[in-house]
Amino acid sequence: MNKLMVGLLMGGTSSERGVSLCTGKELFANVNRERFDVTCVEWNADNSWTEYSVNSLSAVKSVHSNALELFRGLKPDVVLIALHGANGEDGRLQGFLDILGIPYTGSGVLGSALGMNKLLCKQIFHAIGVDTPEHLVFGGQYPVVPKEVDLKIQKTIGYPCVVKPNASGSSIGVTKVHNVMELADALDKAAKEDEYILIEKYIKGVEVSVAVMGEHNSSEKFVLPIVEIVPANEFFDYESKYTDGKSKELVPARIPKEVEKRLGEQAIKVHDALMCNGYSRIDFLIKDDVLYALETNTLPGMTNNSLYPKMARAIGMTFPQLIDKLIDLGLARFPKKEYQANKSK
Amino acid sequence: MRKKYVGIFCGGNSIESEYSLRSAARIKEILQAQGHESVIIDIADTKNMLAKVAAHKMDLAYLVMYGVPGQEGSVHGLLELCGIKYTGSDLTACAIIKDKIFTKLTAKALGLNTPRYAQISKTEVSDIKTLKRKVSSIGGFPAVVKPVRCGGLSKGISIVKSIRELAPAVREAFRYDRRVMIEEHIAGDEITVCVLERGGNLNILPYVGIKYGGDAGFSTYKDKVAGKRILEIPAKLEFPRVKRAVDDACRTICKTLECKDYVYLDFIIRKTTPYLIEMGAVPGFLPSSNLPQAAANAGIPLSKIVSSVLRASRK
Repeated sequence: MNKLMVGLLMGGTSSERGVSLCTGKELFANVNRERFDVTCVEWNADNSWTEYSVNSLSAVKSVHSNALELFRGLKPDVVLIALHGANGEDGRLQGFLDILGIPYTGSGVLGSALGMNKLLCKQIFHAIGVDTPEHLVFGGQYPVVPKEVDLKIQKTIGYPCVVKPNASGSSIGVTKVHNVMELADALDKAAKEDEYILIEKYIKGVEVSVAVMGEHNSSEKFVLPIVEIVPANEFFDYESKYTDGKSKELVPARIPKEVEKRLGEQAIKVHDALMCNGYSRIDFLIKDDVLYALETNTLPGMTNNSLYPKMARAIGMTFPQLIDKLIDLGLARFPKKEYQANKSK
Repeated sequence: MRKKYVGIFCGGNSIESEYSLRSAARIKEILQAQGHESVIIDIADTKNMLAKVAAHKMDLAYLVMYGVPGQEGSVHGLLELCGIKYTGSDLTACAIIKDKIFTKLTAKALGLNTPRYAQISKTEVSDIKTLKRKVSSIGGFPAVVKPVRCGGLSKGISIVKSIRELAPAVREAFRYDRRVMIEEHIAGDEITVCVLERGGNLNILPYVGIKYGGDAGFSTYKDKVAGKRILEIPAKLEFPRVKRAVDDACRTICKTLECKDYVYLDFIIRKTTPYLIEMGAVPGFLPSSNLPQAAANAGIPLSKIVSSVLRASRK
């Protein structure tokens, strides 16, 4: 049987480029070689695109000025997306691959775009009856004045609060703020990542992450064992997220069976509502029996230290098996896509 | 302004393709009159579209796509990855706006009124018990059956008054889309609100009141294409104070979605309550379309809107 060609896409121009390269390397090492050949594709920081030789992580085959040029030549059977953050996780790449008719892992345009936009995501949570911490929004066309922001915080959500860029993953640019003195720096940090800043009420509770595997609205999707995050730092920040040993992650989480069941139901509700494909990971805070959804990740981290592979291991699914499954889900989704069903000239 | 080379993206394989091609031709005329060079790119011909994009000569993509694929974000993704600027709202906003359920969820979260709805899956079409439960969850009959994304120009939409009419109507809607919903029927006045955006400021144009003569109970495909709808601009409101609620609703949702250049919103007004029905990220540009008429009523010619869109795209 001929092997399928997997285009393994990593890098990107976002602040999560480093994480993506780690994810890419580990995926490269763990793709099932009996079924697939792998061509690595790197989205370079300067927006150029590098194609590597088949089954090599280092031998550069060609460099292209844009993605279209590269993919028109490469034509992989499926793209395994190892990107994170803006560019990779926000729907643009998915739309691009849709047009080229190339199957890919994970969610489509809409699910990816929503997953990357914390504000819209929270609004959808709200609309489907999933609790989420109260928030304020600043930025856009209006200048962010710390004094005014402080006033608004005091009048509404109060301190401490969490300042976040609207469109970034991996906790980059996120700060817990205890008082007005810390506010200006936190706003600056968040503004570096996105023009919109989200300020959330701080909820001190048990932090868990819930992984869903499968297609939205299908009967075959399921929830993996829930992970509890016990942070060493003030909260689960970028440093502890990607360095071994900085935070403790417990699978399964130390939560009552009944809460576990409700978390699973809420996660599925979000996965379905956002029309996620393949996989998604939703972060929750549990306080006084209320489950607060914080955000959803449509391309969760896939390094050895990442949560999703850990949760999969808890049901006996190895890393290579997990990758196989995601590729298969991506391939299965494609022939059914609307535009291919439409008449074509 | 420096002369630009503009790719006008239009057409496709949807119900609205022909309408899109006609609107695109009008945009081409306007661009020509303003001294810009342009080329019509039918997105149905993927090969040609990719070749045009790869040639990298375009200063700007003027998007006049209405159907799926096109308006749901795939062409936007292609342009973003190739570094070509495009007109109208960004990928995320377009993807949400093209999806009637996501538009409703966004509206609901913002506290705006929108008719209740329930999604119906293909397997539920012949399941009378489930259908009945879903109909009662939206307040009973009459109910409106709609494709979630792939309709356009009212195709696949019908008003049903009984459970007997429901299943065939749902089946008909599934001819156009993989996702179908039933929606609470709101009896009231239909209006379309066109909004122009420039530098973050929103200009709400005079409302377009939509009257229809047929017995379908709404403007049908035939009415829409034949330009047979009777438009009343500005729409006469039974209760003028409803204007404030409509304006507020438009501003709230357009700001949240960060709509750019132009957008339109369809409402049904029952007494003093506006219900948001759906939105459109790309308006029609034919003389019979809503935006050119509403703008003309406000003294803004279409050519001025187009030149303003081109200027905004410099940023």
